[in-house]
Amino acid sequence: MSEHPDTELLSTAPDQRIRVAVLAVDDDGLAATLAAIDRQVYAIEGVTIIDRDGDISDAGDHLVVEDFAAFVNDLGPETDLVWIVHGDAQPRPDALGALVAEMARSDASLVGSKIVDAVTLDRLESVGSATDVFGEPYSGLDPDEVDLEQYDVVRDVAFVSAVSMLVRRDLVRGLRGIDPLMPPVAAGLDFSQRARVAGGRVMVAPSSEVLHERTCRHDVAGWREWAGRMRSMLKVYRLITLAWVVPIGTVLGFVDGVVRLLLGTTRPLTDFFQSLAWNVVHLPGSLTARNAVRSVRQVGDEELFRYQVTGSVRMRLLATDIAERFGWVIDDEPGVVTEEELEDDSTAAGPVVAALGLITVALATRSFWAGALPQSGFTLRIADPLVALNGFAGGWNPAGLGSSEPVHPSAALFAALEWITGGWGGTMRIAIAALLVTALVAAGRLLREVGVTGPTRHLAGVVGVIGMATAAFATDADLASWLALGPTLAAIALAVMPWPSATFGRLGRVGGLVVASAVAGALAPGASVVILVTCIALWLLVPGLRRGVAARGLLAADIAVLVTAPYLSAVTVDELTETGPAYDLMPALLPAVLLVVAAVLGTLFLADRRHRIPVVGGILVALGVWFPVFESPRGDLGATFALFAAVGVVLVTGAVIGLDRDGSHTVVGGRAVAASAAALLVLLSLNHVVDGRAGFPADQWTERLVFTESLGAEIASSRVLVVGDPGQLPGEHMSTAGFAYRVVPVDGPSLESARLGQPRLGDDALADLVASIAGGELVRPGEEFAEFGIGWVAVVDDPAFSAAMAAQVDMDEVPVSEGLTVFLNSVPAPRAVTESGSVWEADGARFVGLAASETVRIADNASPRWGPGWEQDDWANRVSAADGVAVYKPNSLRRILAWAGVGVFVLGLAFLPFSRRSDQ
Amino acid sequence: MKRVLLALAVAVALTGGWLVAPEPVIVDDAPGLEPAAAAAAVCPLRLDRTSDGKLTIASSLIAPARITVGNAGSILSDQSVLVDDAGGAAVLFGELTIGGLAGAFVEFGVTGAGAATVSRGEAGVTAVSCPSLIRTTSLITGGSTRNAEPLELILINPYGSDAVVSVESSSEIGADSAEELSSVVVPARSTVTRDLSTLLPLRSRLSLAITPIRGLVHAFVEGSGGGDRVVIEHVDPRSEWVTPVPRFEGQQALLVISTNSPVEVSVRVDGWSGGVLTEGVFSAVIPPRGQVEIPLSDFEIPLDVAQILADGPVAVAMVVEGDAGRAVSPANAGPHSEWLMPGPGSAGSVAWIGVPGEVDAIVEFLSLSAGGQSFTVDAPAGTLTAVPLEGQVIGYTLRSDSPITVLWSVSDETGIGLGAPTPLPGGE
Repeated sequence: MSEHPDTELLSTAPDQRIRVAVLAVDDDGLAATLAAIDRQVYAIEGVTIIDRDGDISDAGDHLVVEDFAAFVNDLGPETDLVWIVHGDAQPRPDALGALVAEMARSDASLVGSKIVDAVTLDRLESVGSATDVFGEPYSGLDPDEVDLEQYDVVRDVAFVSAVSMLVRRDLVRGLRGIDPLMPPVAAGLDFSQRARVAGGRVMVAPSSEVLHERTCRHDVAGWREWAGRMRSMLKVYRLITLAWVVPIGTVLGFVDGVVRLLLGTTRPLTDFFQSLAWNVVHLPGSLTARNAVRSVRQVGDEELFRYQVTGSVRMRLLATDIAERFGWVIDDEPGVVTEEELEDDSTAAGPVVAALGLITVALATRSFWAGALPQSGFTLRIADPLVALNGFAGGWNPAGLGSSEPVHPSAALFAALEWITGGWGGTMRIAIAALLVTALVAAGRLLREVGVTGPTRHLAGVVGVIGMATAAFATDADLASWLALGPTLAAIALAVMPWPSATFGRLGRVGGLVVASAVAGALAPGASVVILVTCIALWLLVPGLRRGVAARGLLAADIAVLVTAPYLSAVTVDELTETGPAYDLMPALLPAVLLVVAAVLGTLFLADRRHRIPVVGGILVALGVWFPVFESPRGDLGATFALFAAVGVVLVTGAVIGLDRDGSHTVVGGRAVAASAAALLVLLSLNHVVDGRAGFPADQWTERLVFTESLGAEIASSRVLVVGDPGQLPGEHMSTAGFAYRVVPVDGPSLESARLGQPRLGDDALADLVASIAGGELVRPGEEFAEFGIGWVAVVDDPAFSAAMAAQVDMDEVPVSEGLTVFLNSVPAPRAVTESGSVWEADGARFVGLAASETVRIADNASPRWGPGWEQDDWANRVSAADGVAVYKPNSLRRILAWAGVGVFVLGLAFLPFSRRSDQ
Repeated sequence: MKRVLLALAVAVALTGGWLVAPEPVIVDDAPGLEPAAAAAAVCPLRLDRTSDGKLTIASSLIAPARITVGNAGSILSDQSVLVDDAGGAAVLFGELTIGGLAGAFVEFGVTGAGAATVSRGEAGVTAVSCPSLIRTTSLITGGSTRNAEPLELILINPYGSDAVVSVESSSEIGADSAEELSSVVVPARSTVTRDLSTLLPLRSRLSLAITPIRGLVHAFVEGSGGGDRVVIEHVDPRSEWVTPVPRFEGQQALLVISTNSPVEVSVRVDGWSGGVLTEGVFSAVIPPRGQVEIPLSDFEIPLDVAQILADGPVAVAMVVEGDAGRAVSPANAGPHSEWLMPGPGSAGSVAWIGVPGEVDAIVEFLSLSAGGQSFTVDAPAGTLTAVPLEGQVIGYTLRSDSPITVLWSVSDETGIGLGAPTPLPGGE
């Protein structure tokens, strides 16, 4: 607490007649306040207690009025100045004298005191504040900042605290006192701003010190301050200022609320709406008050702007909170700081390094989250979430010519997100961004749990996400498996973390494991194996890790298997290993050499148990790279190996990249070489910053088939046969006669249709047809394609097939774009049509049309689950048209399994908040 | 020590794969098929007030055919034609087109089938064997623009894709192309013509090489030699040809051989005359993208059958010209024992049978018209046999007990038409 030269102030204080207005809060506080006022060295004329609530029982012999207006009305010419004091404040004896002296010295109209917390006696509450243009106070004080007289400068401010302020009598009368609807802080702001536009000078006198109990704030909801600030703006700003301040302020308030909601705090958003509603309700009163201000206005808004900070204080606070939250997420459990961490100066650098890593990854992956998804290979949009979900849960899979095989769980996961968000276009982008951030954060946490604490460990996530292992996922643009790295690392990290002692903590941990492993499993079903094997390897090889690590790894693996059970229960081993995306698992020579150097030297020279981390990482990389060399697996098995390699790279890189100088020259030198190799791996990863796609292919399919809308309005077809180079085709393809091809919907390829599964009767028939065209035997392929519902043939960079198609007469070549040759079928090609030619439309996973006493042919692979009245029509289906609808009866077991998976996932989500509760 | 062993294990784990991994196997996708020609052919139809014609279809099996006539991007007519038990069908030009020049796309129901047209009128007699699709460079040999004779290039694209072709020409003065022919666009389902008598005038013998740049076309030239209209179809160049040498009174017979080879091509003509084979009755070297003319009538001993052997791809045209008119037909790609011969059968029709070997042939003529008369002809080895065909039928199927080479002709007072039959698969 500071000391003040009271006597000096007193000697210079002029003789002013002062009346005190005490804004009563409660009896206890009032007594102390009156006592403190009595102790003032500077003489006062009298005290009036303003008791708005009427709950003051002991006012002594002081005058009591109900509101400030009554007090103002009673002010006579015998009063020069009014000292407004809160009823929970205790001014020091020299406080009033200091205010009077500064007012006289600076010719100010309104002077405020320095407000100090009455409990701690040294924590600053206010020394005058600036605001932003939206009325948000900006004091510059840190929370709980101690008063060391660092702000003891007399200065002009935007506003002073209403806890203690001295104001000229004429100004009080002109402004009609303090707004009774305002909460404490907003009241000070409002009064100060009105005083300034009335031509008054608003200053703070730090030498006037007032202790404040803060009782006045106890019953005031947070949103009332927001509402008060908004009302103050409405009262003082000119219309031209309001025209932009109100809308922008509203948007910023909403954004702040939404972002904080995403950060887990609901209150700012509700406060925002409440304050908005309050101001709407009190708008008439605000306009009346505004007219009053207009009558005394002497200066423009520019005078207010002089004391305001630029930008939005609210946005600054939000950014600060995010940064703090980020630092918390990266390094620590909330609110827990260990002694080790206090000694470790790296904890301060951790968030910085992590932020650099995040920025790098953000730049290297900007195409995925900053714009439209670059569609190519297996990176595709969700076309119809419900069809995808239905296909996963035992319904008809529309991929290719359709099948009863399940839609891949990754498509189901993204479809679920799309469905939950109502098809909002940014869903995929946000999911991708979240999973990438998860990968970075989880890599840091995992390494920390296994003993790697240096800040540079956060760079391991960069290598994992956009480094050497990414090339495998980028081969066929398998976005989902690549994104599985994040939740996979998170599940491993959660399994490795010490088992909480509290029940809530355990529930929360289980929730986290369930959510992470379920998401990982959905994105890449093989992640369950990766999680389990990695946990077992860490438990066996890293000292200090208990058996529970393996047990929790097993739990996570089980969860991953459970959520993907509808898929795993239906696909064959061949489909898991031979269909789906391809993976080029063999690393380039330079990164491979760097990784070997890092792993071997790390094993030799890293201190304590850390030297076992490169061992585990090396084994995982070897598992991921060398086993597939002999078979080159595709699909889910290939993704599993790629995930092994990626997790291994993270462990090796993260373990060795930090430089520890303890030890002999040889040891330090060995570590330095290993760290350099790891650093080079990080540097090599930066090449993806240029393309912004993490090495994934450029967009090939966004709006590429848009011509079907403009040119095919008259065509009842729903399918396009795409033929071309396998690397150019979306998703999986089939091959015949040297040509790669696949069927896609007319509205473009989609993730739910990316995987084709095993060929069926219709697929074989289509292969024969394509071979016939390739062989030049068919001059009317359009008639044949119509049987498959194919209305278009799009040839992508395949001159040979284009040449084969040149010798046919019933498909018109349509000029579309370079590298894309398109043929329009002149024969109507509906997917479902009755014998009389009535076309039925696809409605989600079913077909609807006019009911008639005939049959409808559905040009999908034959399946007896179609109905009603199914019969096989060669390779296709024929059902009764009597009901006007054709439906596919879903597989009950797979549907039950899907719901079970959803239930487990939701349960995990429900447990998740317990992890935070246990830490508080 | 433990660490060293661990590091060694890591090193082996990470690098050992290189030692034991198999050489990467580059798996090519299965090589793409070389597309064959579909069972279809294209016939040029010229219908005007002074002439009419007939399109005749012959099929080895009973299968319906479909004839589509397109022009200017649209379909003028699309009709199915029933091939009867005899294996033939015929349609008048007037049933397919309303007039002018158009291309008829004939789809056969089976692979062993062929089509031909015969038109008669004031402009002369014309016989055309309708060619099937040729995907690479094709040749038209035997044209002429001498004496300001009209000659028109006809490019027919019956398909769904626009085509662009490059046309190069050669004549007695060597390779001499016209810039206007370097890139000719033929829209889908359209017929495009170019006036060669203007672009390449005064060529006594004019050969064309048509190369598709994109899309596909069927190419013909149509001219008038001595007042007799002549249409020559394009052929796929090859290194061996054989042809009977038809004899018309007062007419000269000659062979024109052209090549699209960028290097010189040596050719040798062996001939049978009176059952005797004479090898190397004529030898020559054709300059790159050039041609050579062999006046068979100038030979001391007239040839009955000529076999042309070359060391590069060539096209051979049999040209008959004189006061009675001019007729041109591609030679046969080789001797066969079964031929489909739609077209001849009306008045003035003759089948020219050559037997290029040492074994006599017995040739059975099976009428393509229901109720038509069939008969058998003996054709001695190494000789030419002319078989008049006056049965008022639409054509014949020829079956021989040994390989033969065949041309057919129709003639009247207005001129001569010469055509080549279609060999049946497996009839070699």
